[in-house]
Amino acid sequence: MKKRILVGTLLVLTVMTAAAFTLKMPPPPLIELKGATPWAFAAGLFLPKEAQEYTYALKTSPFDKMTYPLGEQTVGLFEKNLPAVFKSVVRAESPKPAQGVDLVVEPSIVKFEAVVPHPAYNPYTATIVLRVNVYDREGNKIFTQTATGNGQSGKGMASGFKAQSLAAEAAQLAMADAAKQILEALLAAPEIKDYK
Amino acid sequence: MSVRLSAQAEPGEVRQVSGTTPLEKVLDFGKAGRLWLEVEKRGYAPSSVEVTPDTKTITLPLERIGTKDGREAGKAAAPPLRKVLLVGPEVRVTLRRFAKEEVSADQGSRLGSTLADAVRACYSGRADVELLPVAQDGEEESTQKALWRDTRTSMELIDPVRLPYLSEAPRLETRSGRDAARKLGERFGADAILVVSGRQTVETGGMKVGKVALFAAGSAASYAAAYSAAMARGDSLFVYPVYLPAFSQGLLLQAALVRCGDGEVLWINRGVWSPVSPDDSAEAARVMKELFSSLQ
Repeated sequence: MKKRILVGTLLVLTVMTAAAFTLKMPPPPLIELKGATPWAFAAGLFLPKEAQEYTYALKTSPFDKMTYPLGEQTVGLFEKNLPAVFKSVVRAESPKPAQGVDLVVEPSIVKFEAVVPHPAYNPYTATIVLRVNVYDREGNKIFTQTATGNGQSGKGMASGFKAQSLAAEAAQLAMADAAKQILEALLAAPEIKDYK
Repeated sequence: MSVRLSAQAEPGEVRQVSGTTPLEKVLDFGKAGRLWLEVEKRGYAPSSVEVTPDTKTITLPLERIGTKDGREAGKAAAPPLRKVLLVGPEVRVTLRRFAKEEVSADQGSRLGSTLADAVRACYSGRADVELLPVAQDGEEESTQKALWRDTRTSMELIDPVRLPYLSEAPRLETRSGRDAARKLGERFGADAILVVSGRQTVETGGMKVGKVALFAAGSAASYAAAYSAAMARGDSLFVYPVYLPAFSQGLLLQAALVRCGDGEVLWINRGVWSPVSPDDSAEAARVMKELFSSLQ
């Protein structure tokens, strides 16, 4: 009897471990910004450690859990695209700019929701709300923009065979949608235009 | 009044119940055996209290608050709207075919026009409605985008039921967004801007046939083979239907009304309906009537 319980427990643990996986999200896309002229400022990109490591876990069945590496993706997305908004971008350790840095940009994730459908052939969707705060040389907040992005992905009846990549694609589309709005907002912000 | 599962409210959290008092509801206290009731009223600081199944009576004093310029919040009566500037309706239509999905710009545009006519019909006799021409570039495009960004996020983060009771009236987040509302209001002589947006997912004939075939021919053998193939790719999500889909086919619409003068968000609503054909003006009118049902 004890042996059976032990074997059963090990089996359940093995299945649960095998079914908890982190999505492999492709490298963040380069976002197209029509006619963008970068501001002549050196910007610092600041994400606290906990924000960089932030993941969103979605339970897809009693034994499955899908983890979205959203913090890692956010860092990559802004590292890749912020140079279109500022003449130079370096990593920052705090909201107060270091020597030679004019302002600091701090992105954060306000909200994330994803649908991994059952049945698996239905649409894979994601919604994200991203926010950036911009800080001046004294570390005072001078600008905030929050933006909502949506993503949807699917391959019709074949969707179930590509569930992980479709879920990742929907999340990445949503993130790119929100990030594009934020980058456009930074390029048009009067608070940054008037910044000395 | 609303009911939360945690002591501190999180942005965008789902509340168990939101409604105006008196409210009758059987509450599930869950394993923790406690909930938080929050009472909100325009012009007063929100007040919340922890309750358990043993709680009989609670008293929640509400404190009046002032605005930044010293006025009492929530005092100003909103004048009636004479003219409304309509932005959109922008609807992204996704066609779900047997083996792929594609966005139909044509259907989106046609459905947007049909819904715009339905909005005008809803406002008929109450206020003039003018459609904002979509700018393609330049400063005008930048103005419209600023308004759109802030309104879209308001629609996502503000609870439509709680909006009239929030301690302070929410406004568009950025100076650019508020300036855009003011400029457009002055240019078009409008009191408020109505933004309508959404997405529609439609299953095409091929997808429907595929679903029928799956249910008719789905044998244990085919399931096992497909499941094994999916597992070999590390994909354990291939399962036959167990749960109802969250939103597989239909029309999701969101709408917000923003005062031009100061960018205050006056009203928000959203909902999901069955797909609407771009040619079905009667159905579009029905949907819009329902969407605007909470708009005074």
